[in-house]
Amino acid sequence: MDLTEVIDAYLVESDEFLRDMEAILLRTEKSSPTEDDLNAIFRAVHTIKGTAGMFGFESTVKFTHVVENLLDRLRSHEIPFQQELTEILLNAKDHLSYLVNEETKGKIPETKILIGDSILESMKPFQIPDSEISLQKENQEDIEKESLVANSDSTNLSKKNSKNNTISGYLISFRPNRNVFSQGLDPISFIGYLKKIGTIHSLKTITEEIPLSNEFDAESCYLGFEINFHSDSDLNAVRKVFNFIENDTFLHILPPGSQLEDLVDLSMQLPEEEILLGNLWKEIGILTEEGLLGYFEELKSRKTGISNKQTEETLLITTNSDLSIDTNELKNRVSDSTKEQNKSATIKVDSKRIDNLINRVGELVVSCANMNQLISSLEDSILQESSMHTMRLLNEVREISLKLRMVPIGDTFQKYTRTVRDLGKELGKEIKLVTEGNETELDRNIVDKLGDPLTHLVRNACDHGLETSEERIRKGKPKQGLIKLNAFHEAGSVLIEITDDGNGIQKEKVWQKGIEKDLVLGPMPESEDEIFKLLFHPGLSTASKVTNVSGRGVGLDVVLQNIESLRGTITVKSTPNQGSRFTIRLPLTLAIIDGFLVEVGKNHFIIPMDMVLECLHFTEDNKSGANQFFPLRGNLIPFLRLGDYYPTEASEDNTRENIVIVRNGDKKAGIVVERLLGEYQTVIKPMGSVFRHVKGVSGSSILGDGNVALIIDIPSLFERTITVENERLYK
Amino acid sequence: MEPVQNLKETNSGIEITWNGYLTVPFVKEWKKQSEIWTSSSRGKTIELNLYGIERVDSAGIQLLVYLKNLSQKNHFSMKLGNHSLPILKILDLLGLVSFFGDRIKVKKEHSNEVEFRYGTRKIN
Repeated sequence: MDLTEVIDAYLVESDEFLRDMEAILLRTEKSSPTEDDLNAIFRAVHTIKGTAGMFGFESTVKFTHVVENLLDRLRSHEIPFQQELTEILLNAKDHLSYLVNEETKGKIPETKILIGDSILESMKPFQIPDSEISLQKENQEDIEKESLVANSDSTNLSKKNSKNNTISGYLISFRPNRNVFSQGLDPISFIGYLKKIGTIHSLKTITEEIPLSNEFDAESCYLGFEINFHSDSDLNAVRKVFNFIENDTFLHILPPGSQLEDLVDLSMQLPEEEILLGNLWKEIGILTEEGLLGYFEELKSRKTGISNKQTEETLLITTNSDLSIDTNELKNRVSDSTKEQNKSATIKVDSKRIDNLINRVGELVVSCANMNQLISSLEDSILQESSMHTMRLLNEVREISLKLRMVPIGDTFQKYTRTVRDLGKELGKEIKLVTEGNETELDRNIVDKLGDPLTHLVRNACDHGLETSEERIRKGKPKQGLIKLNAFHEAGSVLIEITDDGNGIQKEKVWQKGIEKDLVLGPMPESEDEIFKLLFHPGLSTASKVTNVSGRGVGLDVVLQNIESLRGTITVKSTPNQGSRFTIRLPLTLAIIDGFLVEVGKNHFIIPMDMVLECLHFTEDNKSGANQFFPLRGNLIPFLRLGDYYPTEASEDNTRENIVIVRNGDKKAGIVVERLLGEYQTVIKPMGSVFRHVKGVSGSSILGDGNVALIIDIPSLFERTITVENERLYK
Repeated sequence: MEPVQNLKETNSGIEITWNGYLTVPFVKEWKKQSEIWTSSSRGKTIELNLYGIERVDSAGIQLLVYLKNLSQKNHFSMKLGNHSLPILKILDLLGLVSFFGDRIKVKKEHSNEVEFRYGTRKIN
């Protein structure tokens, strides 16, 4: 394996561990950590240490070693957990996160090492008495040795095993030499003799070496034995049983209490596959099911130095065919327990591969749509039926492929728990963060780019959204401010809301700032949207004071840019003294959309299907007076002609016009087009950088017949219409 | 004791009776005798009556394992039956009962000599 890939795996895995660690530590602020919590934190740190050691990342290893010692003592109840440790361990987590990421790029600067040292120093008062610190120093010497043990999940398990169930009896691995019969020795007689000094708890005869051809020599010994032997006799006494045969045989006896590491050492000396041996030892009761997982982890870390949560499963599956023993049941049980341990077993796949797959599926969808179109003109019902069936299957494949890239937003939300906590402390405010809709799934590409805008909005809410505790009490509000992050699906989009129960935005102040900056003129309009749109203008800030957190006027414009780059929109609602709500509306995915194909002149356009409400026949008589409004069941809906915005060559048969009613959020509008061509699945091709500034178009798509269709960006078109209308009205 | 092999045709195949010692000095001969039927038993059922086996050692048990494996390769069915006490004891000690998968009858007077504590789990 390429080392870069291994390091990438280390980075991803460490990031997951550290995130979990942070979540647990934040929980410990409210309630004492459970045994599982402490084990999980320990495992996180130990795993990182193990892998870092394998790569020779000394700074990480040295730092984690001390943290790990503290955690080990906490989990074994040698020292009690104290509330102050949360802060210290959070700092340690942050520093570790830095070390993990930076040490893969090069040496850690001395200044940062000193920061690490000061964090370790802060742990000292919580460590055990001085007399035991010398012991800790001894442990320090073992760092190098321990570092070789790459994965600590296994080491952790092995430690756990050693306390509970490693080897309760002797493990005797006995492989007589081939020529043992010619010397008048019978291996079975030695085994029989064992019964005189103890009990054979279980024994497995290995027969795999017996050839199945003329090579089988009746006078050669091909047998091997793995014995779980229980006896009060000491190792020497057990060894003595094999005295006569020992020189002519492979004999290895592991005494009771031996560790998983010893088993792995042994497995490497024996002729059989290590994995077969693990399963075999499980069968004879040397390893418990948990011990077997630990053994596999330990084995893998020895061999590859990387950890993978799926190892147990993978190893068992890949070797199953080689096993003569019954591993099916074991496999099922192991995989069940693995699932329990890691709620969802996952495979790590390079996201580029998934992108590639989705891209190809997209091409296939387009190509199939074209084929469908051609077939429909042939009037061959059997062919049409077959084509429809293919299309249906393809749609399912498309759905499945897209889901590969979907991730729950919960992980992203989770990191704001820390942000809010830290900001609350910094600003001297009591803030509670509530998250909802954590399971809502969103395209990974979108989630990645959503981090910055969300961080900005959360920081804003903490800083000048919420009042100080004193002010809140004065206003009769609860002392603790509330910030809520919520995600949910709505009409083919994902909505993310950031709500606070603070001051609310003062519309007058925003409008006044707008006037000061020459952005607007005249009296404040009725429409809240129009006022709050100013907030997203570069350089406009209403914060009364600039703090470290926010209020420098740099921000919301960038937030808007980021959201727009994701084909999303952002709206603001605010009520004085009750709080504000920022709502981000995002498409589910960036790759493929269900579109509605329309034609204007000779050009094709695609309107995202989730925004289309209905289509109606349109004549000039439908217009409401001179204004651009269309009467729809008693309501007047503004409309625009697509041909006015994107002038196209007129078609020869200019037939009647149609109006497509679309919606954007809670607003409706009409788009007048010439022909409706129906539903069309569309692969979005990003526009080249030359067209970056073209408004109202979010991408393009190649149609089945080779023509290009522009994908209409409805939110941007709405905005443009409003601007044009405003200009017209104010003239 | 020298190997004595008796072959008898049955409806489904052949019943073979072994008498003697199934130990190192004789295993080569046992193998030679078994070649008579292993090479021509495709599709048949071989019932190996082991009642007359008075002694058995590692080499003997290894030959039985070899024959069992060969039955799968050469597509015949092999059953061990009427196990003598020495055979039972060694199958018990080595945990090979389930490997052969045969029905085992233990006489009342021998019940204290075998335990079947392990190696009896049926292999799927």
